[in-house]
Amino acid sequence: MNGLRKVLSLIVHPLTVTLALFAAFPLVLPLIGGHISLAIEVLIMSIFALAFNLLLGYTGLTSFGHAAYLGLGAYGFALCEIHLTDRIWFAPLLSGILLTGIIAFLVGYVISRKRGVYYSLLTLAIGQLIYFIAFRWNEVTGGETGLTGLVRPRIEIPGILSLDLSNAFTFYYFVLVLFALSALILWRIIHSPFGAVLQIIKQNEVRARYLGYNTFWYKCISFTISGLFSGLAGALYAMFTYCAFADYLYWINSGDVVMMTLIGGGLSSFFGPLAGSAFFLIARNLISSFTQHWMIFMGIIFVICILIFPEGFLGVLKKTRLFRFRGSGG
Amino acid sequence: MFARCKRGSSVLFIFAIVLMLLSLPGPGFAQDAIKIALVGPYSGNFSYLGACMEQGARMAIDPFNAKGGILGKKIELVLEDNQSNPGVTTQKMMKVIEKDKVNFVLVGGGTSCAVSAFEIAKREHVLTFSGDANDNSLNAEKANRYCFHIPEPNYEIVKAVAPSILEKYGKRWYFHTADYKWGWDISATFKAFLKEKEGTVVGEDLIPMEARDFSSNIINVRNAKPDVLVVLVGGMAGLAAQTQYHEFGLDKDVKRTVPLYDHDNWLITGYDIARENGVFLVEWDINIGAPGCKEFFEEYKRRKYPTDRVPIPMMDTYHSYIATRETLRIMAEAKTTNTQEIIKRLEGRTIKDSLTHSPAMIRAADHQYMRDAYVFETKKPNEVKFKGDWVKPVKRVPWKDLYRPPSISLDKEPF
Amino acid sequence: MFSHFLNHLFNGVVLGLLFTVIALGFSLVLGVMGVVNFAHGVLFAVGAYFAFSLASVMGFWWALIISPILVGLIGMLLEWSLIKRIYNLNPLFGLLLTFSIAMGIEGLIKLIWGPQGYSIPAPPFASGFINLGFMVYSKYRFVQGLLALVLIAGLWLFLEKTTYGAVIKAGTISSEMVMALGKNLPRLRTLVFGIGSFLAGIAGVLTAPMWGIRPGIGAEAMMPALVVVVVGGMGSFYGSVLAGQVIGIITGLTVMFYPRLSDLMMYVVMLVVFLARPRGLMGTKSILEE
Repeated sequence: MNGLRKVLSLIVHPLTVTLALFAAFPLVLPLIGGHISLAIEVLIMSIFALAFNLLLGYTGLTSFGHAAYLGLGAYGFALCEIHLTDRIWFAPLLSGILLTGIIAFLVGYVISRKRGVYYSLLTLAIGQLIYFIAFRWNEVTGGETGLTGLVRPRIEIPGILSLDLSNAFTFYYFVLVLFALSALILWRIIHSPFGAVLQIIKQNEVRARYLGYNTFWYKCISFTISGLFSGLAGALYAMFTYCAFADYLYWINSGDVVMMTLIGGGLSSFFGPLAGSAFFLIARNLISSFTQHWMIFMGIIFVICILIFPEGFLGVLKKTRLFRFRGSGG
Repeated sequence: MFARCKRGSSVLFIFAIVLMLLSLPGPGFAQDAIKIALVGPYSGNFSYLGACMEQGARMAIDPFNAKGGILGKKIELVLEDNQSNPGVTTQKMMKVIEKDKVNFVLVGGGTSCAVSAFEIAKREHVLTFSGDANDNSLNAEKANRYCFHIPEPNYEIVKAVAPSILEKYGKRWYFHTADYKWGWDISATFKAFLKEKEGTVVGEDLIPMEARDFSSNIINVRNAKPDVLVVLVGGMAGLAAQTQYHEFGLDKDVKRTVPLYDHDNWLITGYDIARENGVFLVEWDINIGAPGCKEFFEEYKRRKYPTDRVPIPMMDTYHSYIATRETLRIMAEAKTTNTQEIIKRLEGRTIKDSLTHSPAMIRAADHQYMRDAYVFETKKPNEVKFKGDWVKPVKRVPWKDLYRPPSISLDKEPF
Repeated sequence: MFSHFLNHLFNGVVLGLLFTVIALGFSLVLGVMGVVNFAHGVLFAVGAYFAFSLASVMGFWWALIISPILVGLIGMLLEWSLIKRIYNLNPLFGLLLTFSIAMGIEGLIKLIWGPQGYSIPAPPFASGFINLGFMVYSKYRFVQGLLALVLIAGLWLFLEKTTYGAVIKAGTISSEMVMALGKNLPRLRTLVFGIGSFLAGIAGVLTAPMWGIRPGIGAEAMMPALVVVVVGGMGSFYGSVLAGQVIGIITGLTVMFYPRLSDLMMYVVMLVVFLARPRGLMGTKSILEE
């Protein structure tokens, strides 16, 4: 009897319902004439925002050149596909992740001694440096023309499944699975002892050091992990658009992800970045379909958001009664 | 863990609902219309050409709509600014294909944008015309059965105009080349030609497209003392270059030529500067003296299209006009909007009223629009009748003598 | 070959002076209010656009004077209505607020002047070239360099020799003390933001004939401002001048040898200086340093 109740409560649990919803609505879409690209883009950017928030919301480090790691993921994917292979389905994806991870580690190694505004400006400089290399190294990156004509590798696990990712719905599920995995892994990292130290560093790095933690390595590893997931997002983005452009790395896009994360409430909530990226992309998409001058409206909306609720959407929601749960701490 | 997750899950729940809403179809035009997308440059390096392409498209569309449309449907034009940027072109193409469900696309903004657009066209099976890119790859390795290339390819441009440059100036050339695909391509084509004729490449500067400061390039040219400076830079960068050549007094020391003429550039810089720009190829101009040109210009003026910056129709206007007109004609004649049927009829199509001397043709094998090439020079001050009336033809090269054989056979490929 | 080298060197010097002018306004706001003003670039752009519209009506000289004043006024309005609200918060918010404002203003620019760019020629008295015997140089470059020098000197005089300047300098060291000494801090801050915006605007007017006018030049101008401030040292006037020259000359000379790398050089310099001497060439040691 007790076992049955437990099973039932699991089925009706919000998490299960949500996952079911995510899984089901692509089937609903054709009936209402919608198209799924925007949902895919939001999922990919959410991975990026979650990765970014590991640094911002949990380690207290503002990276202002993070778009570079999205771009590196895209280029890693593209270069592997073009020069090595597109037959081993996970190879380009892995290349995107690894390339970004390695560079993120190197960058992290260089900058993790610093903190505060110096740290941020360094990340900006390095981000722009990587952008210009991507933009000017024509032989490798295609320069202004970029790397185009990519394909989505066919997933072949002999005996188990064979997926054609060029179908938008299949690709959606693929991205959804990776998104769920990323969210899960990042959640586990944050709620682990390692994550706890990161949060100590966020509160007060000097004190953390006096407590004996080698903050340099914690910051460096945090940056690397953020880089790895940003690389994943970038590789998925290259798969999504079938190309890689230097634009992806321009500093304005870095500003966008900082905005998404903060407005959603990344500083105080794990899910903040999701809310932020969804809001940002909806707003931009909706407003730009009505008017060419969407930038004015976006600017105004964000100014209002920052001035009125700087703790972000989820920060605000956390404060209201509606979302208080007994014994909750998440 | 699950208890702690409750708040997060509620958030995810809302997130999912939001995603669903995102995927709803947005506001759009009536489905029961023929839709043409123009994904062109309204900003960025080629910012004047978007409006030019739009004008050409409208001049082709309006006569059909006046007669009640085609197959009972009105024709609508969907405009998107691709910012002369290939990344944005990709986004906008996907938008007009998925959301607006257009029948065909006109793309502008230069070679990079065209390359991106062609790839999407192939993948999504959407008929696409390139309105303003000249790279050799567009009717060769980057071509596919869904795309048609209207402008002149670099090879044919060089073949038409290089002999005149050689004849007028000499054999020692210095290049200022735009540092992207189109620039490298046309520069290589010129150099091959020059080598064949025993000329010398005295030097070359690669100029990034955002460059606005040409002082060092001007110094380089002065030092090299070539017979002629061949300027292979277009758009706003080209404009800045020509202005600075004039400002730094380069005109007095070194002759220059801008082989591919950008009307809009020169109209902005002014007649004094345009006059120094040697001999060049114009893909189309009202002064070529072919049947229909005058009427086209009259219609253009009747619509009040001339502006201070762009007082005459550009070659981009012409390209969009031809692409749109012929496609609509086919739709009306064959009574179909089926993409593959239209493509089959475009392949090998002869166009008698092409506003050039010989009737033009769309070659089936590589989907290249072939028309006569005209080499121009700037008129003398007393020959100029109104602003924009600055060029006169010096030589006409009939297309049959100009175009090299195709390197591919698109018409034999499956859809 | 030597005149070739001299030309590039001169270009570098002039570029450096322009970078310094762009950076000084930014540095001032950063020093006095601690705000990383990402709207600085877009105010630069607005300055250029105003000059474009005004020059056809009132000529270059009047445009040079009126346009920055207008930009300064806009800056003061922004500070008074929006920016002053985030002074006590996490510096991240100032950054994001100014970033959002920059987005909004760039949209406004596109609305008012259109998304396509414009080109304005050098003013008639300064167009053409000067033949110095050993080298031929652009007249306008010369004029730009001179005007930038005058501006920098003027700002230096203002900061060093006037009471206002003294109060502002005090503000970069400690705003609390300034307030304790009885000065009206909010009014001071508004004024400083106005001056910073004025400097951004005038930099925009000066560089417009050289860089062209597009909505995107704001974002592009932000980078030199940031780099110069970091290389020179936050809060240091002489640092900004020195850093501007270092970066300008290195960029100018790189064009001579490896033109494709010229954009990159400022970041490489920033990285190198930063790692070797985090406080900047002439900055003061702060607790943020390690």
